[in-house]
Parts: sequence; structure tokens; C-alpha cells
Amino acid sequence: MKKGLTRIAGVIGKAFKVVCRPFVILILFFARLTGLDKARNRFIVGALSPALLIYGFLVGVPLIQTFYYSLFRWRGVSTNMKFVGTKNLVEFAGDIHMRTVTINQTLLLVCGGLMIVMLAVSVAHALQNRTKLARTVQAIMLFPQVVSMVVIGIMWNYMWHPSYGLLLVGGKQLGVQFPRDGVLGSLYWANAAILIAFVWHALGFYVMIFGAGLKNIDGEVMEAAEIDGASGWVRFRRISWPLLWSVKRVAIIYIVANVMGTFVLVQMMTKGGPDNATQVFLTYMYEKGYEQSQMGQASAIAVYSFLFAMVMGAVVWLVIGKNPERARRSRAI
Amino acid sequence: MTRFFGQLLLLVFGISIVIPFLWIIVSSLKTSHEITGTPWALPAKAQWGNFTYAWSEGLIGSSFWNSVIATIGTLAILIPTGAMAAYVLVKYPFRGSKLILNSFMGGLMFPNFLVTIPLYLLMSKLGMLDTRIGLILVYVAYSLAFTVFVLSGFFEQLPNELIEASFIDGCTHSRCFWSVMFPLAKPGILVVAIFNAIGLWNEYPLAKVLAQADNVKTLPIGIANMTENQQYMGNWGGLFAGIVIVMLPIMIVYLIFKDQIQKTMLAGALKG
Repeated sequence: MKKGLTRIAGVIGKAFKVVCRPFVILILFFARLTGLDKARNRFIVGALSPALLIYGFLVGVPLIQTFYYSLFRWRGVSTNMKFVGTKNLVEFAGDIHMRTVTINQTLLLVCGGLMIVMLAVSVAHALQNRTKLARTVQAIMLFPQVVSMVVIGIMWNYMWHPSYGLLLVGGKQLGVQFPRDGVLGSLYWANAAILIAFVWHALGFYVMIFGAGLKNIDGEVMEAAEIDGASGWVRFRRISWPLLWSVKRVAIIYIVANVMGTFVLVQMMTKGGPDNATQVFLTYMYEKGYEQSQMGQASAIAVYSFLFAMVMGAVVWLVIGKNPERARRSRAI
Repeated sequence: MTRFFGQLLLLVFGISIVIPFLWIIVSSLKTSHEITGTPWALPAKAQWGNFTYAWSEGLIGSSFWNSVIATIGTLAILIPTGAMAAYVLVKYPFRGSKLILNSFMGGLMFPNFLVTIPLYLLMSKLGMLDTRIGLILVYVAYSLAFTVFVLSGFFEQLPNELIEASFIDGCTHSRCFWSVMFPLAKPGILVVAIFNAIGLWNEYPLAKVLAQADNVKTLPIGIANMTENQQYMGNWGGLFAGIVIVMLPIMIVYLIFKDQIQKTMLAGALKG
């Protein structure tokens, strides 16, 4: 039974190697070109192939290989690949660290997402008044985005430093009690500290896109509502918030992508500790793959997180629902 | 009233962004004793020695040049390849061109780091771990999605009549691209180059996996290693000076080009 499975895996592997050769793609590509203008076809192939070859070899192939490797028990450098099928994936159901990872990632998505959307919408509203302060804030708000994540991580690590971190010294003077092992050494506080750093890092980008969304809203609609006596809150609740639908959708897609890509921040702040309490998918994958050199299991983590992202994406899709503008239009017709 | 609260919110938001950066810059001019003793105070005397320490002994200097080479090398390959691909995909529609464009866009959404395990094995098989060319090729591959995506938008806006006119004047396809369309797209290409340069200068996960050796490691790796070492050596001033060396060039570039950068970020975000 096992021998048969290994052989099947071998055949699949060989077939896969053949299929993946980008040259095959290029041949298909030749065949598919329409028109008889030879010079045109030659130019198309010549101009596209460098980008396609680099992209295919270094992005496309590894992407497929991740799924393939996740079926094996394998220590990377050795040739000893043992086919285990979906066992790697199934094992995660009982893995305590994987449970922490899933919870952390969900909390980061839900809490971080809510905080980002609420703060970004408020700040974007405040920015609509073109005061001097607003212009200054607009100029500096992307600093956390353009500076390296490594710097952000190190910075926030020292902000929370138990004896001379900026936040702790400031907080102590205000009478706040912090845990004795430092915030990042505490099982409960560490995740909150990472969440705050994450929101601080990401916020500027979302302020920018919500600001653009608000600017696109027709000024006349707002004026009409104001004349009809709608208060600021009602105007926001009934007009701006529904009209921001497409921006909200974009923002949420980006938040899911951002949260799934969290790696450097956690690596720099806690390395997944204390006692694996702050692990996220990518830090756990890094530990499994490069520190314990379990390449098969690490690939399975990648596959698991793909699935997780897809489920989260679907949930988010259902939560945002339909475009209210479009619904109204179709009713009018 | 709402106006007042709005301004207050902006003030708090602005201060929360500025303070951590200011703290790092101020700390880079303090002695280790001052940093640990009085974190909120200004330095008694500016310690410029911290910067020379970080540059030479903290090995930030050598990683600085590695970063410069990696960034410029990547851009030199990335911009022509990306521009050609974007141009063809937009201006030479053929069966499957939409699919290729969409597959580049798909690459924008998933975190690169997920696929590094096969990538690492591939590079080690090719003997390209810890080499400049290996790192540069990987950087090109992982920057292509964004580059093609943004540049295709720029090329789309250029009128088709220009291409036809250049054909009538006797241009070949490639001549038409290099002498007519590429120069016309220069503003877009400049923005994409700046944008990619910032991303490459800051890149950490791929470099961490693929280029750890001292002779190729880039600034983010350098500063991360330095942080680890400082936990035992305790030269905090030097460490903060190193962080300033990493972040200051980017902040200056950003302040110079901030309008174009914000516009590109927005266009990229709202179109996708």
C-alpha cells in the first residue's frame, strides 16, 4: 500500500516537473498568438519572455511546489522524502501551537481590522478640514509605512522595554501598573503590544484610502442633507458610510493581506515567545522550516494559512455584503 | 465643536507618529548611560561617535553598500523587463494577455514569505544562496507584480495614434517602444522606480532566508544582527545610530517625492 502510494507520488512529481517548465508555457503561448504578422508576434514573445521566465521560475513554481512539498515528511537537504499525504495538515488539528497561531491571527484580523477602520475613518474625516495641522499630518502619516518593518519592530521592542522603554517609563509616571517581566515577556500583554504596534504601523495607509473615498463623495449630496437638517452623525451614518462601500471592500482585502503577511514585526518584537504565545503563521513556519528544518511541515503551514486566508476572505465578503448603491439603482429601474 | 475634536484627534495622531521616531533620533545622540537612565531627557552633549561606531564596528557601513548594490542592481533589471511586459500586455492584446496580466496581479495579494521554502531549496540547488545575483533575481521576480500592474496603467493612457504614427515613420516594434513609448512613460517609470527602491531598501524576510553572509547582507539584516549583538554588548547609542542610518535616507526620499508616492499608492490600492 505504502509502496504504491510512494510510486504514485513519484509519477505525479515527475509529471509536475514536466508541466511546470515555463518553456511549455512559452510554446503554448506561441501557438495561441493570433494574427499572421510575424514581426509583431516575435516582438510580443521577445518582450514578454524575460518577465514571464523570471516570474514563473521564482514565483509561480515555488507557489505550486509549496503545495507539493506539504505532502511529505522531509528535512529539506536530504533526499529522504517520505510521502505522508495530508497527514501533515491533519496533525495541525491537534497541535497546540497551531491553535495559538490561529487564535492570534484571528484576533489580529478582527481587533486590528476594527481598530484600523474606526480610527482611519475618524482621522480621514478630520483631515477633510484643510488646516495647517491637517497638511502636516498628511505629510508625515505614511512614515511608519515607508520605514523598514525591521526598524518598526526594533523600535516597538524598545518602546515596551521593561526598565527604560519610553511607554513604560511614561506610563509608570501616570501610575499605570505593568507586568513585572515586561510587557513583551507577559503571556497576556505581549499580543496586545504587538496589536498596538501593528495598528500604529498600518494606520496611515488606510487613512489615505478612506480620505480619497470621502473626497469622492459628491459635495451636493452632503449640502442637500445639511439643508434638510441632518446632523453630522446622521450624515455620516446615512450617507458617507454607505457610500464608502467600495473603499471599505478594498481596505478589508488589504487588511486580510497585511495580517496574513505579519512576520517581521513579531520576529523583531518577541520571536513568537514567550512560550510561543505570540506565534503567527509565518513565524511558526520560519521556526519549523529553518530552525527545525522540517521542510514538509513548514510547507503544510503555508498551505494551512492559504486555506485560512481564503476562509477569512469569504467570511469578510459575506459581512460587507452587497454594494448599497448598486442595489438602489437596480430597484429604480 | 466637531471641528475642535477633529483637530484634537489629528494632533494626537500626529504626535503618536512623530514621538517614536524622534525618540530614536534623539537616543542616537546619547550615551548608553543616558539612554537607560533618563529615556525622556535630551542628551547633555551630542554623541556623534555613535554613528562612526555603528558604521564601522557595527558593520552597518558594509551592509549599506550591499543594500545600495542590491537595490540598484534590481532596478536595472526590473525596470526594462517590467516595462516591456506591461507595454505588450496592454498595447498588443492577444488571446491570453488578460490572463497573464491577472496572474501578475494575483501575485500582489499573497505574502511572498509563504513560498520561501521551495524558493530557498531552489536557490541552494542552483548554488545561488548568499550571492548578490541570486538575491537580485529573486527581488526582480517579487517586484514584477507591482511594477507590471502600475506600469500597465501608465501605458494604457498613452494614445494608440502615437504607435501608428511611429510605424508610418518606419519604426520597428522594438524601436517604437524604446524611442517613443518608453520615454513618454518616464514620469510613471520614475515613480515606480522610487516606490520599488523604498521596498527593496527595507526588504527583510527574503534577504533573511537567502542572503545571510556578511559580504552580501543588506541593511535590514545588518541592523537586526546588530540588535541581537547589542543585548550582550550594551552599546545602545551605537544601535540607535544604526537604526537612524537605516531609516533616514528613506524618510528623506519620501519627503521629497511624497505627493507622487501617495498618488501611486492610492492608484494601486483603489484600482485593484
